[in-house]
Amino acid sequence: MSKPVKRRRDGSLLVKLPSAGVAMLRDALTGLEATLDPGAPEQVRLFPRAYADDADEAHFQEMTRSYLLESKRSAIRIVGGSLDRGHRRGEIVELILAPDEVTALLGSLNDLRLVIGTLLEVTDDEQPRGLLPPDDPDAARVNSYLWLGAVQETLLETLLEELG
Amino acid sequence: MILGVMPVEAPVREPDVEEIVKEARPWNVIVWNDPINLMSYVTYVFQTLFGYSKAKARKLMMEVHEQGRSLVWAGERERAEAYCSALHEKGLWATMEQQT
Repeated sequence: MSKPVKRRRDGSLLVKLPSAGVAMLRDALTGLEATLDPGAPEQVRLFPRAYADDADEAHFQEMTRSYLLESKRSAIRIVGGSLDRGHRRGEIVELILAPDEVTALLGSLNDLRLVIGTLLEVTDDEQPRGLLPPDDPDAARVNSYLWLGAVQETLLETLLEELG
Repeated sequence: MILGVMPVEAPVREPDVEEIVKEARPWNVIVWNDPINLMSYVTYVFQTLFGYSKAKARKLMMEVHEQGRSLVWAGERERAEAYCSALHEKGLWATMEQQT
């Protein structure tokens, strides 16, 4: 397979993903949207406290929370649109992403990893190391966590190189 | 001299100097280590959000990774809040504390 991430002459970014991965990403994004509903326990890592002081924190949340929620929801919508416009070539889906779509994808991939990583209780010492066989009860979570991380890493390799 | 127009001292409250000094102390934006965010992603966020050089962004990221936390920005409270919120938007674990 040729390079999975490539900057095109018109400034857009070409990203090639396996179609099985794209299907998983769609499902995961639907799950992420539900996580953004008030009271979902996995939210804790998506919306950390800014202040130790309760009154300061309440004021901070009042000012920022609805914007933050809308930003995350809008990223999910943008990524959904990018996936809808993908070109399927055999087992590969080619996405052609404008800069705001790249930002949205990077952000949603990260939010998904935060949520799945929290559910898996990932720590510095206990990181999922390798893919699990399908009969393992954690297989779906661990394998998607690793795959999402690999996609994010591949995107970042190109983006960091461009920043210089 | 006309009686009754003597300037009367208004009861001005003495400014609480300690309060003013406390208000003026800058706020630190701290990013904490977490086991999920990729090192490359944290570096990318520091470069794109603050406009830091690759070297500075990497240095701060390594501080987060190795020391558990890094002071990534310090200054006026409103801007610190804006950066803190932007870091949360990007999924980084950021908090604020006023300098002592």
